[in-house]
Amino acid sequence: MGGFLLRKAGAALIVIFLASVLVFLGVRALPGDPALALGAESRDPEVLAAVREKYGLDQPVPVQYAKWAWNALQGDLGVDSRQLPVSETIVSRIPVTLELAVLSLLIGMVIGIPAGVIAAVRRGKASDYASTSVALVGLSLPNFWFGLMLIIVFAVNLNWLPAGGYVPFSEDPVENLKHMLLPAIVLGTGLSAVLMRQMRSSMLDSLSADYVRTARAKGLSERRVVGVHALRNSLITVTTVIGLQLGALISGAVITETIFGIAGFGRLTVDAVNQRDYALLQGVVLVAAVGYVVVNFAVDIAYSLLNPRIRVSGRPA
Amino acid sequence: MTVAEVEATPPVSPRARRRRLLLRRFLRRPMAVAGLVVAVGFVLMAVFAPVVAPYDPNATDFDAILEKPSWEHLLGTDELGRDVFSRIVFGARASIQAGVFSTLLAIAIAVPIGLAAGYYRGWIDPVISRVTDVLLAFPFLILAVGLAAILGPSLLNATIALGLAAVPGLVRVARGEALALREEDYVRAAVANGAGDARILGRHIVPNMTGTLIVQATVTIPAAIIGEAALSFLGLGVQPPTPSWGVMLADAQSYLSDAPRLALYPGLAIFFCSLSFNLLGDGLRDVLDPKTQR
Repeated sequence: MGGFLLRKAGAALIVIFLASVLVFLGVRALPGDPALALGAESRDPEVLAAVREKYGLDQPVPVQYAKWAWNALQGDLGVDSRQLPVSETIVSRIPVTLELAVLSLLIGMVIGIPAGVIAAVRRGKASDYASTSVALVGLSLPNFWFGLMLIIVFAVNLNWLPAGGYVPFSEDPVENLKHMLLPAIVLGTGLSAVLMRQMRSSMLDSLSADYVRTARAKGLSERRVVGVHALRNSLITVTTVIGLQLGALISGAVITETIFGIAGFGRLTVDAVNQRDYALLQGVVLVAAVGYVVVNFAVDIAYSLLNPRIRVSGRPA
Repeated sequence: MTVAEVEATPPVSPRARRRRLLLRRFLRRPMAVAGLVVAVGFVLMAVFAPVVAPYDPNATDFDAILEKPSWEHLLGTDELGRDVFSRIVFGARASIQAGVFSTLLAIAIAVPIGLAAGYYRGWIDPVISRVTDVLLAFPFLILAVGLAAILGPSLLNATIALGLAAVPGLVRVARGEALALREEDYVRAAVANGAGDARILGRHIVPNMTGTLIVQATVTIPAAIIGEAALSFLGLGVQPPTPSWGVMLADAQSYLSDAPRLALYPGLAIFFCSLSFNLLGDGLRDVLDPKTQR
């Protein structure tokens, strides 16, 4: 287990390092001179030179990267174009998106997992076709449009829920949930479609496995066979998929937060791009990538704890 | 069988027979056939947009703004008095172009890279795999948004950005296929017969992975169609006044209470367009990969 952990951790660190290089170079490839943006659009060469010196933009790129990476390791991502510390802005936005992600994940699992199990158990029957088709519809639904439709129905016409905005949970839990419900439904339904499909196919695998046949031969009730033997093993596979879906959740948050006017991490990304805020964009994308790698590392570890075979052979086939 | 009998058998090659079998299997799936029909319909609508659309999509008519659907304007008019139906028809061009060309771009880049990693292995495989891991750590839309920001907002750049963002996933698929296929008996036989790499790749590996690639393409296209709409919605894709479903949705946001239909139609277009490709992809997967058959 120790060697496996070390190998996985090493791979994750390499990925994070390369991702940070890529983010750094990618942001430098953006059109526009950062000194111009930082120097309040002043075109005075002396001001620009001073700005370049102040932010180290006159130094060679590898030196700039080393400084940035060293500071980032200590939690300092520099200041954005409004002179606000990037790390603090990001840290203040993360809880909002995290709450949205957790709620979406809950909705996704509550719908997706039972639907997948039912589809697999009743394979080829009407309920299987129904849930498979609904999942396909869910996959094809553009989440930003779905969000707009929910706003039209529940906020504009029925006036049941607010159309957008955000209230911190600590201030007013009920209002907070009211504001989060529609966005979480938008992200959760897309996720439930993915989970349903994954759950269905891994349940089908489990149900045809030898241990399920053994369980049936022992005379266990169908409930127990499906509920305990098949379900438990299928859930292990679905764990990994949930980790991989984090990327989709972040992508979805970018759009969903924009529509619902939630000042979260996704909205911050769009703002950073639109304002050409180098330091902010750099920080946001880096944090997204690191978060993804760390979560998937954790999922890998959890998976190997649940399924010891993986430790020997690497990833499952 | 005598020589004469062999020569007398009808000239149906095994390949043609297999193709007919696949076609018959495909036609037995009504949802897949429906997906194909609708997808082809969208492509035709995009190609023949000037013929299909009753109005110039950018012609404004300030005497007829925000009109309800009528025989004159099938889906009504928008806030500038432009015909919504005509804009939807022309909007298909942006979506289909972004969906199809970004997927082709992604395949053209990803397949050679995946082949190099999966077939040649050696030092190049871990390098490519690691780089793929790195790129996959960036969520698809964040990658596309970042690339679109670097390239600047336009349909062409959005297409390139979406194509590049789809590359890492496709590299992984192509590598996996190449890795599995190179261990097949017929590849070993070809190696034993002295076939060179070019022949093995061209005659054995690539033809045998086309099924998987076609399926991957039909699921990448809807992702790119939704991606284009998302980028245009965020102002990073098609620029107004060029009609695009994403731009139309972004414009409709200001009229959610007065004219919610403005947000309804372009969304339905995106939905049916991506659903048709998803249905087609699902059907093709069932047909080409018997392992996943119900």
